[in-house]
Amino acid sequence: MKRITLTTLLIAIFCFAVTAGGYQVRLQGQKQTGMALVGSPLSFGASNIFYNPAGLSFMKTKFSISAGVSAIMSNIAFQKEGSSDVFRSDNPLSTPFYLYGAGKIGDNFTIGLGIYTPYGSSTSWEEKNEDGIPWPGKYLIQEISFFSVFIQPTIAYKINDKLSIGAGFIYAYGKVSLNRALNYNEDSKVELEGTSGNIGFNAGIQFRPTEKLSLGVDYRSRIGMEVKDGDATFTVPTMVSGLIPKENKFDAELPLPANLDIGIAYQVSEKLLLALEVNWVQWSTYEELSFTFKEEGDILNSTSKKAYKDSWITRLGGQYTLNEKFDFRLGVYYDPSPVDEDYFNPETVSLNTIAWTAGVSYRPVEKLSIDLSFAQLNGLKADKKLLDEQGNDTFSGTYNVLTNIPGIGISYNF
Amino acid sequence: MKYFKYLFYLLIIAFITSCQPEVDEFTPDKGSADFSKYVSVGNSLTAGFTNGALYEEGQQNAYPNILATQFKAVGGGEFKQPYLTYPGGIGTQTVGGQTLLIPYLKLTLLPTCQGEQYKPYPSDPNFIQKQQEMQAALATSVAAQGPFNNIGVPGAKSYHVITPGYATMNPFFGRFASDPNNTVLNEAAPIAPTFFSIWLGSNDVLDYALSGGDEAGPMHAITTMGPDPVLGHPGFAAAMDAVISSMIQMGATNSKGVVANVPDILSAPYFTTIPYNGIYLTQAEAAQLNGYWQAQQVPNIQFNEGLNPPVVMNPDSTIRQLDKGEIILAILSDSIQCGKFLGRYAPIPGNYFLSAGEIQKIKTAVDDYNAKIEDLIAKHPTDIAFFDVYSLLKKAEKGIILEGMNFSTSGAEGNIFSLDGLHLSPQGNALIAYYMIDAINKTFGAKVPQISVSAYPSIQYP
Repeated sequence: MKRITLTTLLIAIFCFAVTAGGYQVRLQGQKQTGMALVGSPLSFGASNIFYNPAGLSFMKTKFSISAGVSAIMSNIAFQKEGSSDVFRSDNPLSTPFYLYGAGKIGDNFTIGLGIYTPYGSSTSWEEKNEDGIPWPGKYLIQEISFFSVFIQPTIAYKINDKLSIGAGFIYAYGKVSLNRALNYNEDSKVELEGTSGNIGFNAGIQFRPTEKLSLGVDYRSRIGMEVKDGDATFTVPTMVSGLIPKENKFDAELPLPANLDIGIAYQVSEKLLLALEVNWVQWSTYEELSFTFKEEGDILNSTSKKAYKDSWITRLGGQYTLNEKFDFRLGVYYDPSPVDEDYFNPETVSLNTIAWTAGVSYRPVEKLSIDLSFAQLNGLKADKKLLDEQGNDTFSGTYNVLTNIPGIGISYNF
Repeated sequence: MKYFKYLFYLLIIAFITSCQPEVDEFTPDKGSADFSKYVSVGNSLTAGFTNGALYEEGQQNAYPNILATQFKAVGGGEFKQPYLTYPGGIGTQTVGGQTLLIPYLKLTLLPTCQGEQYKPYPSDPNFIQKQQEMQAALATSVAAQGPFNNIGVPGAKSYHVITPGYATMNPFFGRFASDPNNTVLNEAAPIAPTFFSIWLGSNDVLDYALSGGDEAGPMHAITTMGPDPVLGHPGFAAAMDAVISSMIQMGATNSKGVVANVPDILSAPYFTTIPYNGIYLTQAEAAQLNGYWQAQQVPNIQFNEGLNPPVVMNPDSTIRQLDKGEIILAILSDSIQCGKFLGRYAPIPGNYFLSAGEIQKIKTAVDDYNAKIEDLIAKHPTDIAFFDVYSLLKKAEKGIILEGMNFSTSGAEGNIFSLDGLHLSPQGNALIAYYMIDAINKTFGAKVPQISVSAYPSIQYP
């Protein structure tokens, strides 16, 4: 009986849903994920390459490797304003992963290499809802998927026992694909697919004034993902094909915003570690999304206003070390939506979000740690609009999002 | 290990539970209106006339049918329409001031300058037979299936719907009238409607416009505001007053309804498709034409290289070139765009264009009608929702974006008008229904569930 109650309660908690702002995915270390994704003041081995390179200097072992993957299971619901019709997403599973390795060279230097996926988003709207009503946003977006991989060689320098700095060079590769309907006839649509590569950096500082207290600051630069000569495929009726070529090329740019993370961690007792972090995310860089086509640009080019706002994310996480074999983690964070409520497009459904996280590490042997995490992102149901240039409402309704993200990783420190 | 097991359970639970976020916040509400018995009054737009013809599929997509479907969530009942099941549909077309009934007219989209816009045309070898079938279909009464909730009659002017015996003058009414002496409104009385929509008045000026401003034919006269001694009708003001008050009083208690005004008919593609200066000439062609008209001793005709206005003939038989702002009817689109004769060597006759003076008469009439309609609506503030379709279509002249689609009053690509350039496309009907529901909800504090315009078919390109 007791167990049933607990189970019910757990389901209730987990059905009170979780997603990350915009199209950023910070699930780049299972330990950090379990602690509300706090990273900048911590030193969890090689995964510091993403969260704060300076933390590498405080690794307890000479070498550290770490790998993991998460499964983002996101469900979006939309109800058109003034209507009974509810539409849902049928999002494919999105699986951000990471792979890190770091090693100390001499007394003061640590070098490392990370491959990770900090930005991505995948939304696919059901073509018809359960009442057979077609998705009314099909002319805005039917499916969109964005995926990026960062490669980051990194170096950290320990200035003294209390202070460390670190920096990494980033090469970012991104791939975006989307399709939406065109209203020439039932089958008309356009599919866009493009790739992009660009560079950036990640730099941080970590300061440990006492044995118990740690402060960290990390900055990751803005990276503009420019798609050049992406493939555009138009499925249009014969009569229109004279006007709109079936195969075309397009240019577009999707900015990946800069992040500034400032965190503090305190070892309350031998077993309990608490950490608090704020992240500033420079979403205001996402002002508009433009598509420029090589042929028939006069008809096809489009610019949609995004008007994203910078956001501040607040995170609180804790870790309890039970014994040599187990660590448990819990966390909570609030991630406000960067999207302007008047320019809210169903292609990126990002709501104010409260997230709960939990994690456990199991060390079968001293050097090896198996890390599990779970995050649930509860979008806070909200009414949003999509206004046109004249300020007329063109697509409004109520959105809600629930995202569950289980993750697994291993780390080996030696 | 015990703790680990719990956490593991937790992960499994989260995995298995397919939690769906909830959004359902909408509770339909009829507000102060009663939608149980809805009747729609109007003309071809209300009847579901589209692509130049009346046919079942068009009737199904008619805005009153869309409204009735949405009303079901707030207590709406059955909505009967007098479906015309004749397979080819029955079309009408005004050519040179004559309105013809044509079987199988349903227009399809074809590239311009590739011959006939519709088929079969009178050159069809089976045309006579088809015309006979059409006449038989029109003569077949469906009155026994009534009473009908949609009593929109193609061709009806304001005063027609209160004219006894109109069934004998208009076969589109005759086919569903239960008594030939009935007025159109009489047909709704057995239903005792609790809710109505009225959209009348377009035809009161449209016949005039379609005939190119034919002053001579009384059939095409613009409906006067007051009683017309020649035609013997009560005029627009009295007719609309009678229609609105009859509908309010037709129910057991005061019925409520939505009343639309008259759009600026001249913004329909039929009047905007052909530019006033659509004749493209090379320098040699221009010189040749100037030579021709000089030889004819017609003054003030000047063609230049590039785009030129065509030559037209005034009612007094004088010949001139069209002025900016004047209108050529779309019926001539192939002749003007592809032909090398009409408008160049042969003046366009008066029945095919609207002069500045004629345009002014139409605009004045529409303004007068709409002032009167607003007056009448103001008399019944709690009974009537006002649907300002005039302003909606004015806005659409610049373009309306909805659900990622662009709507405008320009031709097929504008998606509001069907291929005849005068009547609504399925999405045009949906757009009307969308804003009508908006007006109804605001006036009666109701929550009739809104539609998605994108759920209705757009104009299908081949």
